[in-house]
Amino acid sequence: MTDSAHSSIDPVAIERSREERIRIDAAARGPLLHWLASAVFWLLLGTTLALAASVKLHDPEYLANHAWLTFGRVRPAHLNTMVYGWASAASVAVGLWIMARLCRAPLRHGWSLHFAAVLWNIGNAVGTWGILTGGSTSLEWLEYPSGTAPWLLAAFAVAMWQGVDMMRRRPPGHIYVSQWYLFASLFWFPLLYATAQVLLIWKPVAAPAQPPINWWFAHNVLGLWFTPVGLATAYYLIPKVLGKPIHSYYLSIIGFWSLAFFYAWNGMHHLIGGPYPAWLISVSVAASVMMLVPVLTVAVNHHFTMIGNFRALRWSPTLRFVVFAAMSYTLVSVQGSLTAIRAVNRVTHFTHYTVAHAHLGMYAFVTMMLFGAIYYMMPRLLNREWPSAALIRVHFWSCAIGVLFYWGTLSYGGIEQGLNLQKPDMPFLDIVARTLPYLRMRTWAGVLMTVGHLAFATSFLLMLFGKARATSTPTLFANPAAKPNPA
Amino acid sequence: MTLSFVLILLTLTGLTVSAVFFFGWAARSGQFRDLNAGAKTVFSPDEPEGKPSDSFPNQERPKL
Repeated sequence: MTDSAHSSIDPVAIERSREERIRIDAAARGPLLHWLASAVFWLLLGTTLALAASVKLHDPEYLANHAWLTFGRVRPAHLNTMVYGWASAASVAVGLWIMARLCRAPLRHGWSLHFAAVLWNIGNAVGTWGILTGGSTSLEWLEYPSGTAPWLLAAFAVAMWQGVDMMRRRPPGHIYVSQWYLFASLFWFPLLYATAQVLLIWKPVAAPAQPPINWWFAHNVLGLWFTPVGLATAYYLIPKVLGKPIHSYYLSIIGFWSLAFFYAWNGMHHLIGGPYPAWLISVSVAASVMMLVPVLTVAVNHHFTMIGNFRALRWSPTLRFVVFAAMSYTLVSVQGSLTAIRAVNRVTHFTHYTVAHAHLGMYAFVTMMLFGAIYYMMPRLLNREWPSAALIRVHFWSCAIGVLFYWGTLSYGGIEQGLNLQKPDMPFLDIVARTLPYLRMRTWAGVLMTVGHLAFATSFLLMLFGKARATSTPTLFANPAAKPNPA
Repeated sequence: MTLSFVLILLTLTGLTVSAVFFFGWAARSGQFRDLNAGAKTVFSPDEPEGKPSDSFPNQERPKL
């Protein structure tokens, strides 16, 4: 007899577990909403910068009269506000909430997370200001100038300590795969970030040694920070929403450990064709193809758990985002492994194809997963109902169509660009001109995603400021059978 | 330069060594013993297996 089957007939156990869950969510409310609200602010700022950068690529005169709005500043400002301001802050909030739920340990010392959120926001503000005023370090994914890292690291140290504190208080017994992913990523991110900061910014190594370190960081921050948080979220939310455990838990454990052992070798495939020892790059190419192992374990799990339950996508907003993100994870990872192969890379390197790939990872996978998690968390943190189903639908469809359109057009355009770049008799400017239609389509895709973000921010603010319907048991939460029929 | 190389080496070996350490700990402490039960630790008496959660606001969910 399973635990749940047993407890479903034990009202005392149900009541005790309900009280525990309410305590956990109440303790998380203030601090995690602070992180989430900050994340939504940076998402909107990052979106604005993204649109400006995208328009500039096909319309260079747009907003070009001010130095701080030139492409070379707007584009890295977009990347960094999205990576640190939005995705990392939202990951901290989502990760710590799932951690608290799984460790059955309410957050303690909430003030420390409030303080950390302030530090995190100051860091992002200092960094964004630094980039826009011309202080970019010009190291990709690390453009925030040198004064930024201490703020971010200090803030993250608090999040890390909170994660450790919850793990220490967990009840004895099994550690769920999401807890492994989250616990590890809380150490991996500061390790990667601090190492990259020391070696590239505080005490820069010799110039030829910088790109390998730069790409080791930039690739691993996706694989060892955002990917674990994203997968932890999927492994928690898919079973929770469906009310059924994942298809093969064995495979999920293999997936976690193969990621932990082998991921760190990946980054050098960004340097294919670069002036580096062939073995260094070959190791990364091999490791990248090896990544098919953890990816397939995740893919099998997520997709097989869904089989027979696809109707659930119609009623669960969370599941829509999470399943979309999980499918994108499979797609972006297989694409990544293939792109790391030299023959493919020879065409795609230095083209818009890479940009499309990065957005499939950071947006279609990471960002959509975080959206899904936020849709699940907020009603539970606030005991309120989302204000409007229509806003959620607008958010989902415009972001989903937007990012697929973005990825499709830029990938196609990038391959065409890459093939043209191999033709020695084709003038470079012709090749550039031929990318213009794709860049324009990219802007339209960006407009769609912006519409989605505005719908999301509206929902979020209405929730936050209590304009949404308050209930002691929000419908997102409640047993559907007990739910009153809406008028 | 020397310091940098030491740091890179420490970071890379640190990552691998800690992964090996935690893997060993997990194996010794029985984390891999009953995975079928482990898969169900997401559920609790209050949010049990077999009970879906989450739906669009103000919308009845069809029975699965």
